[in-house]
Amino acid sequence: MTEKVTVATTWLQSCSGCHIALLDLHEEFLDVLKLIDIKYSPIMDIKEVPEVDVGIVEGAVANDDNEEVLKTFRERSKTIVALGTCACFGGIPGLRNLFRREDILQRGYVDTESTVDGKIPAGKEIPPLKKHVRSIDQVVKVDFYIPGCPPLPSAIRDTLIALVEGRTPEVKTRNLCEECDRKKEKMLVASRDFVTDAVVSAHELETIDPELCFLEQGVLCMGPATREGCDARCLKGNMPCRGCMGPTPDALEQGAKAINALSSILPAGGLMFMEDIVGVGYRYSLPVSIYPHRVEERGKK
Amino acid sequence: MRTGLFLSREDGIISSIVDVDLLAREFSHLPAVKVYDSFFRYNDQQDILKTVDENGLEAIVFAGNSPKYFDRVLAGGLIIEALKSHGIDENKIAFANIKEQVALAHSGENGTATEKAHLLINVALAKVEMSHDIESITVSPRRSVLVIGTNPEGIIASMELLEKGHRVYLVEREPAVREETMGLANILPSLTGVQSDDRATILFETEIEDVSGWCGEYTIVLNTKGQQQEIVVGGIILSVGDDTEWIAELRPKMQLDTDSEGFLLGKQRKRLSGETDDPGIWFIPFMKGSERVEFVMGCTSMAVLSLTTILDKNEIEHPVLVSEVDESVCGGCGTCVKTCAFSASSIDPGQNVSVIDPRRCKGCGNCVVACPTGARDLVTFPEKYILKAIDILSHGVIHDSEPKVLAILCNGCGYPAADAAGELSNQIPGMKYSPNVFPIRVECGGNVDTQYIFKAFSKGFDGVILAICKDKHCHHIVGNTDMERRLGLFREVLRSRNIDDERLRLIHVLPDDGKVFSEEVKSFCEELKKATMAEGR
Repeated sequence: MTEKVTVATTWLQSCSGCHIALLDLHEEFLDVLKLIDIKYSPIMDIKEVPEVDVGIVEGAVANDDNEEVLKTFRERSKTIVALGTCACFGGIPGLRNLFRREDILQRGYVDTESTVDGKIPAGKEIPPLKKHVRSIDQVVKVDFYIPGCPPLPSAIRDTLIALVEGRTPEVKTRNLCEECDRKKEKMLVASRDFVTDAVVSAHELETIDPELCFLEQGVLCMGPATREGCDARCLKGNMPCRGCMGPTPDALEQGAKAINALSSILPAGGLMFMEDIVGVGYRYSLPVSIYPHRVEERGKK
Repeated sequence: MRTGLFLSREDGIISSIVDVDLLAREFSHLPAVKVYDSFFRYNDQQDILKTVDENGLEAIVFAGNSPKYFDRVLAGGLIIEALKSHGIDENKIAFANIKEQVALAHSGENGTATEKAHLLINVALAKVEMSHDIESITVSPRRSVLVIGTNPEGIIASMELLEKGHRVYLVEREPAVREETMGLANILPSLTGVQSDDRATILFETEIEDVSGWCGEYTIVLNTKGQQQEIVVGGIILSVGDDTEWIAELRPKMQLDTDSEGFLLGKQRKRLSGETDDPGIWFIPFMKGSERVEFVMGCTSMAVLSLTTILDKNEIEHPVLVSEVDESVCGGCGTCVKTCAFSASSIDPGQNVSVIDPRRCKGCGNCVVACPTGARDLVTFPEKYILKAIDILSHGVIHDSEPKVLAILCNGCGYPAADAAGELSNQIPGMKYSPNVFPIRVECGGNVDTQYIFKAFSKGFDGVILAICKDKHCHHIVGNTDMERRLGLFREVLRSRNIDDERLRLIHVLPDDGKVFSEEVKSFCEELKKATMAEGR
């Protein structure tokens, strides 16, 4: 038998959900284990990161420890795979780039309603927060990406198998409408009328038509501004897309593109009042947007 | 690619302010660099063509007059046509406007002006480098014309067209020939002539539902009392007089421009000219009063003669200005279908990708901006070029103490208004604006991607000013209003990054609004300066 491909995995700033997605392969995971040998992982009691063929990194870079672990991984792995949206685009933790670090620490350790006599920790026991959250490819070179919050288990499997077989993993590049089976009626009619009179939240609809495009029901869906590859799971579960697969390769960023597009489809007034447009557009990809964080006050550089 | 740079002294108007000889030395690495006294004299033009041939040039940058000036004067059109016949693609000719937007605007600041001219030449070089050739389609013009309106002018136009051997469709929305015509004894014989000619079809109670195609071959959908029919004509003459209601309905179908009272306005923006941006569409200017008949006779004959001269050609070549689709990214969401004001986009149900009808696409770039995937791009102003231009201009360090501003100008109104501002500030020193305002031309307000604005701020511009068409003057009908809607939402994004949205200014202008442009830009720069000082920079 040929030697197995050696793998190390880790999580940085994240929820560990992407590792759970790996386990969601269920019994198929056993087939994968026939091909790979996991040498290091957060759930194994090994102190030192070994030299491996493939390093799989979940999570964004948000503190000094994340950065150190990531750099070690890069040094000791022949190939680095960014696993999940946080690693690929900064993800949910990246939203903190809209705030000042001091304000976040103050809120988290002092101002929260349940905290009594809180103080912001100083010293080495807790790794200091970086000023801004970054995607892992903003820190080290990344070879392959598996976006998704969490990624499809099958996408993780397919990427690993491709790497074992020495192939380049397949990457999908169109937007999510490609994978979504919902019917489009008004969206494809060449008229300048908005597809809906009012923008609403999904829970405000008496019934959500499971077969009709969400935008045509007045519900904001990020599908058009989001890359395919998730199998349109949310849409099949009758929920609109929130954009976790990140922007398509030709877009510079997701938020501005979503704004450009949605304002041609939905009444802009409704969009402004109904939704947190910044949160919608950049929920998963703020650290890789054109302006990836809040601008510091001038003169306080 | 072999690119040549031609600089103009404009008989001293440019060279007394911008050091064109220094610029020629700075760009001496290009295969050919030459300085001319003018681009519009026969001898100079012959030398330009000779230089193109001798050096095997594939692309040209003209550093001198505004591209709008090339459009306007005969000799400008001639040199472009001649270059095309010498193998240079239209899309490989770019302009660095160092006259109106540099020399005239910044007279008395010679060093600064030369530095700015250098940057604008770099931008133009990037444009030819990043644009690919434009495809073209050849049509054989139809010898038939749609005449809209049965007022006296429409009747005379129809008669003259018939005399010149063209077929005529005379369309009227009213149930009969307009009363004003019936009251004019000297028009009635022409009316009889039209009515009795087999080659004329008169249709009453008929509306124009749709117009597509181009000069020489338009497909028109007519609706007569609920009955639809499709006709194909070579050209269109509008004789709608003061029927502003009808004009408003026809405007989006033929991209017509109107003045503040709602009357049709020509390409030259002068009362007597009935020339539109489309060489196959002419109108007869409206005039009141007793001189009307003699006046309209002249205008009508001019419109008929101009149009038939074009339609009598054997072939007309049309550049295909369409936006393009990257099919590897397009998922068929339909956003472009909803955005296009000309119904040029549709989704191919088999392939599930967007397709563009070149006979309808006006090349405005609205779909390029709207496309959420970035699959679309405009042939004439590719996204890559615009981003590169923003990058080049961001490196301009001219006046350190003045705020640095990117001025995004729409081709229809903003850009000519900036030209007019240059001419004005050359005459009135008080109209001068800061050289730290860097212009970039885009096709239309609808072609302004919020990503470009974001990029400009990330590249260190202190402010971004957008100059676009006023109200009903957008050459692409909805470009200005679509952009405003996008900006309304985008301001929220700027604020989320702690960028004061006052640093983004939108102004509406007409092509000759030089004064408005100058004043708005000046006040914007002053406000930016105050704001940065208040922040203690």
